[in-house]
Amino acid sequence: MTTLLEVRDLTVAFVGDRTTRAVLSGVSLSVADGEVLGVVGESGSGKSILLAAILRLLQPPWQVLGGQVLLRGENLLEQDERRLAALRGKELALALSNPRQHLNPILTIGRQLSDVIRAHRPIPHAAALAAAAELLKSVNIPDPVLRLQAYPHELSGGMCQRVILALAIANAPKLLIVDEPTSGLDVTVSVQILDLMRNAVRKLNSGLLVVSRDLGVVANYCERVVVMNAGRIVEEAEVRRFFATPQNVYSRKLLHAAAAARDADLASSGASPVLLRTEPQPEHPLPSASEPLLEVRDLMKRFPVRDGRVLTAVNDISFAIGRGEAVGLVGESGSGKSTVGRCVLRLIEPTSGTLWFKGQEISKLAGTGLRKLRAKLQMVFQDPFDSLDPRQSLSAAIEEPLSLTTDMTRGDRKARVADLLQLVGLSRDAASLYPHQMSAGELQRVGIARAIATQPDLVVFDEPTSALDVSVRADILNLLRDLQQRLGMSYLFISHDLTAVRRLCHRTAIMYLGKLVEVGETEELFRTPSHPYSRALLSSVLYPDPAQRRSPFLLSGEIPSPIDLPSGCALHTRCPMATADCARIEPALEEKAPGRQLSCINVAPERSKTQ
Amino acid sequence: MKRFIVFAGKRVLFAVPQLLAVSVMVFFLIRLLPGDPTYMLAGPYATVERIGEVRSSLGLDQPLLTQYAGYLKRTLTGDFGVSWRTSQPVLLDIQQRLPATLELVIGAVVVSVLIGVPLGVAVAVNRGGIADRLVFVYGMLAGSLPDFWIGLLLILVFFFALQWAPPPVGQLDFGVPSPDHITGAYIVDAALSGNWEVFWSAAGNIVLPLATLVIVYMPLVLKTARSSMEEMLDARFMLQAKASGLSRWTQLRYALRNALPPVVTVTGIVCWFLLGGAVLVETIFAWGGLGQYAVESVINSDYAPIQAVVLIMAVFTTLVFLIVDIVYYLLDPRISV
Repeated sequence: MTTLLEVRDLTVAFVGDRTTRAVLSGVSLSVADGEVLGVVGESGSGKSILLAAILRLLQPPWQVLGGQVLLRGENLLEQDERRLAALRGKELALALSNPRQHLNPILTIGRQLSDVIRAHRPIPHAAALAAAAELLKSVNIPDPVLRLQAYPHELSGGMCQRVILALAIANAPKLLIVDEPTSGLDVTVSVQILDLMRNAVRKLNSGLLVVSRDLGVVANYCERVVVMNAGRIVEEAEVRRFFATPQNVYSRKLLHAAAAARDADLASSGASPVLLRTEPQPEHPLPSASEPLLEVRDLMKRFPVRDGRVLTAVNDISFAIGRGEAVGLVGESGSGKSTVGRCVLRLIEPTSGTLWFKGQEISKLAGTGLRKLRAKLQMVFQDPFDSLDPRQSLSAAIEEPLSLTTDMTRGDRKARVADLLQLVGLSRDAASLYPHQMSAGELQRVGIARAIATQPDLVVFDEPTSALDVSVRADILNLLRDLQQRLGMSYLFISHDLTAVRRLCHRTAIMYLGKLVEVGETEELFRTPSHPYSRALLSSVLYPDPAQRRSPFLLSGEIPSPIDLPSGCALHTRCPMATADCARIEPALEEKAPGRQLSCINVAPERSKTQ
Repeated sequence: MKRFIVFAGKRVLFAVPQLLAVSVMVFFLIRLLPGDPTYMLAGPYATVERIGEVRSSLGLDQPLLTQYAGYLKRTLTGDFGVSWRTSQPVLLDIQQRLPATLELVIGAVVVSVLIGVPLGVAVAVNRGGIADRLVFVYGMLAGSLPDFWIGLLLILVFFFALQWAPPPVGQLDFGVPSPDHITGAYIVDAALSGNWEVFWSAAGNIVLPLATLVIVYMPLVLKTARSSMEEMLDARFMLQAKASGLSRWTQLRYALRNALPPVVTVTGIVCWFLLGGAVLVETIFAWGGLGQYAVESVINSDYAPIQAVVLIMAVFTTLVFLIVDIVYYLLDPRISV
């Protein structure tokens, strides 16, 4: 393997009016032909600056102060703009994340691809368009010729990411640089994109430089890894050695944090989860099932859309939550899981179906009855900033549900607010603060305090951790678990974060296109997912351990529009196991094994073997 | 293409209720004006019977709705009444004066766009240069100086002091006959009929009023073009474009295409401002256009022309925004019907 890219002693600084602050200090790394190098580090470690410096895309106030960037021996730092334009896209190409923002919004996909092709090859537009269609096909975009006419806003995020990848590989670059390739994408789509990327560079025998925060991506796709912290490279190692025996203190810290994302049953192979407690999952036995606390029967929610068509967000689902039970509802974006949460709380009206809470039908409640109910049924939202009034002090925010639904005296309420703050791990002094004075993690604690103020029986969490940083996320999950044990509440935990669900929930329901496809006891379900969708979803989780690389069970394409639901089983358009019957027969969710419900005509659950 | 026709069709249909609303507003606004035309027509010594006769001959004893229907019907047939001051049908007065105003307004818009957009783009591309600072100062000054003052200043400098410009007495020099009537706009008519003496006279006379309007109203276009272009040059998609090795020229094209829609919107607004600006500028330069006609009618309480001019200006504005919307649709595919 010959060296393709070599960065030597690269130093980049933020040059302000008065101060100069180094953001990269003596960074050196190399990528060989056909090699996949991962660059990991947290936000602020200088990864993105490194990328921009390699491609010479740094703008003032950032300046390269020293070092070399050698592409096959040619120092990029010494080239002029013309030479750089010839090299960019042709020799080294960049694929950015947040694809929608990185595509030109008012040009067609075909035009953008053709422009990039023609920047390096003098061929007519029509020929470039034909080449563009081939490229779209190579990144698995259906109907490529038709898509040439599409604008970015007409494509899903996953499709746009494929287009970005197509732009990057349009001129068969020798080195592909990818920045956070999975951010903002659903897991089943992420792994498709990652596979495409790896296959593309394999075919071209090109080098691949993957910049990511996600150690799972590195463990699954990279051969070598470079760890960055505060503008320096603190460790460089072959990927297996790195995960087995990290040398640097900071690397070990990163690995520990990521280990929280690892399953208890996989812990044998290396580091143990430290941020979350390590006891095995169902640590507090469920109170023996009596009547369920919440029962949802045949819930259906449809939204009218343009031209008299109907979007079916929730398609006839039924489930129950017992007292003291935490139930996870997982699915990709567009699966309808948030709509279920809102229907349960009667924040939006279900189109049909009934809801029972503590043996009482609540789907028809109104006025005082509904308000009384809300005291016992609470919700925590995804974005802690958006869900609090910026002009309301935190104590007022927490007190509000108390004054609305109880007849506590003012003094009692104040005392309760102080207790609640303590309960969620905030200091009593926080009461007088306003939302902008707190971090996202602290605010989410306030959101939780507010939700549990009225001592609810059931709390619905709608993606409570997805707006938070990884380390904060773990703290919040710990808190939720503590609270549940102490207060005995039931949870409906809606999330696409599978590891969080696995940590927190007794049972898990997996949702796809408005339907529940599989429901079961969490640990069993994660060990032996039976429904093809469950299998794909769970196998899309990238564990930060090269010894546990993903066993591929891929779905093709992306989640279809809930406006025109596929006939029969909603998954049949993507399912590798689909038969002709799947397009006709709509499978019902049936109990196929004790405690395990499944809706598929082709599979039966495996009996889980106790380890 | 089919989508465009659907969009344009819907937008044009939508202009119909807009225009109807305009006519309702004009009709009732006029009735809100102080003074009753009956007393003016009948004179100070009229008997009660005489006033009644005048009132019914004007149709003012009819219910408002009937009056409005009559007004709408007359307007649609081009009957705007007669001006007391010129003793001509208002329609004829307007036909004589509107082209002169349109010449000024459209000329000012075209020049503002032709100078403002390239200049704004150039400044955005070379941020922080001398041109950038000059444009900044100009934008501040022009935004704070009234148009009539600029007009007087230009007359003082270029006619009175330097004697470069012709006297501000209208669209043509003394003794130059008007060209054959084709469109009514002298420059266009002279050019069409090949009457070059008249053409140069008209062109020389339009320079100062046009410059006044451009100096005052171009900064809006200029500033929008600059800020919009700056924003687009910094947009995320430009990073991907640059990293793909697109030439500098293609990069600029990418940014410019995205920067244009706000410029189009502002150009529409400028058209509307210019119509107001023309009223004062025409008076200063004795332009003899619609603006000057409106001012004189107001001063002389000549209601029929006021009503007609307000209606025409409103229609003009409605049409301008109709065009803006259609151009915007062509520029930005994200607009849906």
